[in-house]
Amino acid sequence: MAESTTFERICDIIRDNGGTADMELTPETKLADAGLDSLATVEAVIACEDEFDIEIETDSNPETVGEFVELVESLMEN
Amino acid sequence: MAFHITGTGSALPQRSVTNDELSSFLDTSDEWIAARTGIRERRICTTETLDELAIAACRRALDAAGITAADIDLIVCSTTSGDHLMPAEACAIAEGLGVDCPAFDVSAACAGFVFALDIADGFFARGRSQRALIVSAEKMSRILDWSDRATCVLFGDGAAACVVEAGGESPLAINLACKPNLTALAVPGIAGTSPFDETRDGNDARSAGSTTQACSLTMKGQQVFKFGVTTICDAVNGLCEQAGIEVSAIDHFIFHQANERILAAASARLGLDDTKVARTLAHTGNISSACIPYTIDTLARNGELKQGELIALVGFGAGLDTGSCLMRWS
Repeated sequence: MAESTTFERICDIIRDNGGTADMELTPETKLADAGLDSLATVEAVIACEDEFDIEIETDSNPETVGEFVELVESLMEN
Repeated sequence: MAFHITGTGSALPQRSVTNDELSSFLDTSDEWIAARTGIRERRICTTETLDELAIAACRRALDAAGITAADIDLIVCSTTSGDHLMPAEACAIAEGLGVDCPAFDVSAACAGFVFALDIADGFFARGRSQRALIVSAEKMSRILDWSDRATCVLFGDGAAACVVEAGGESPLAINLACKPNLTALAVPGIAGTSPFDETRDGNDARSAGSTTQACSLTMKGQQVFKFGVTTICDAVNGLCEQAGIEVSAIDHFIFHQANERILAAASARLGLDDTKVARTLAHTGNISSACIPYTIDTLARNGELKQGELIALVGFGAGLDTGSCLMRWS
């Protein structure tokens, strides 16, 4: 359950930060295909830091929604 | 001690370079640049020297303050792209204005103007100055790699100056900081030709004069973008905490004009009234440390700064340096 909740929250963040509003997102969806350019990806990273109270290294920008979820969850566990 | 700004001025090169013009020799477009940066055009030096722009900006600031150059007792110039490594750009300004007061440069990249303000405030506090010229002058076009579409489209040239006098209420809060990072945004120094230098890549110390490096800017865009957004937010909150006021009490936010997307993201994250966030970069690009004083001058000349209003300045850039200041317009 925790994983799906994180997934949904990250999907909302992607949509709020330039992602295509009506696109169905899966863990395999590439962020670029979801409508995020390189700067919007950073904006989503910053929004995730605020949402989950974590700090994400800039160099670790994820490429897919699933990588994004894994990254956030790994940082939440620390 | 305290300071207040009594006159502002600026000078840009005549030549405007549009995104379409850049597209004629770079694989880019007006749409791409505008969507990712908010920049439509930038001014680039052709026949002008930076000395000339800086002196012109100073003369306009002196005129606005209603004083002459002889009334100035300190010149601090922030630059990282001056016409001279030595002497300081400020010395050329002093010569152009015909004055012989202390004149020196500050190197704090895009945060340089706020650093220079704080230095002037220190001179006031020690009774060493009563009236200073704070100048930011940048010829970024000379340090760009004009084949790199990711960076050369971002910057422009220009100069802006403020006459700053002892007295008044500013700063209500001021913070300078450095988060050391030598690679996120950088321009290498002169390689030189020393026969003893073994630190240069591929240099054979015995082949003096064989190695020269182009001094061009490199930037890790995503890293700088994140630094910009988070720095603006942290700096504004820090100023408000220091001054004991709410963010909503600030009338104007003058942030370093690096990228419209940074301004928009920071404004949204702070929950600002976006109409209070000044924007000038669409027509100038990023003119490094000159962005903040250029924007102050633009607002002042448009009559948008009213007596007693609170202004938050946040400069950030290579270093990674940050300079933030809360001041009252008077």
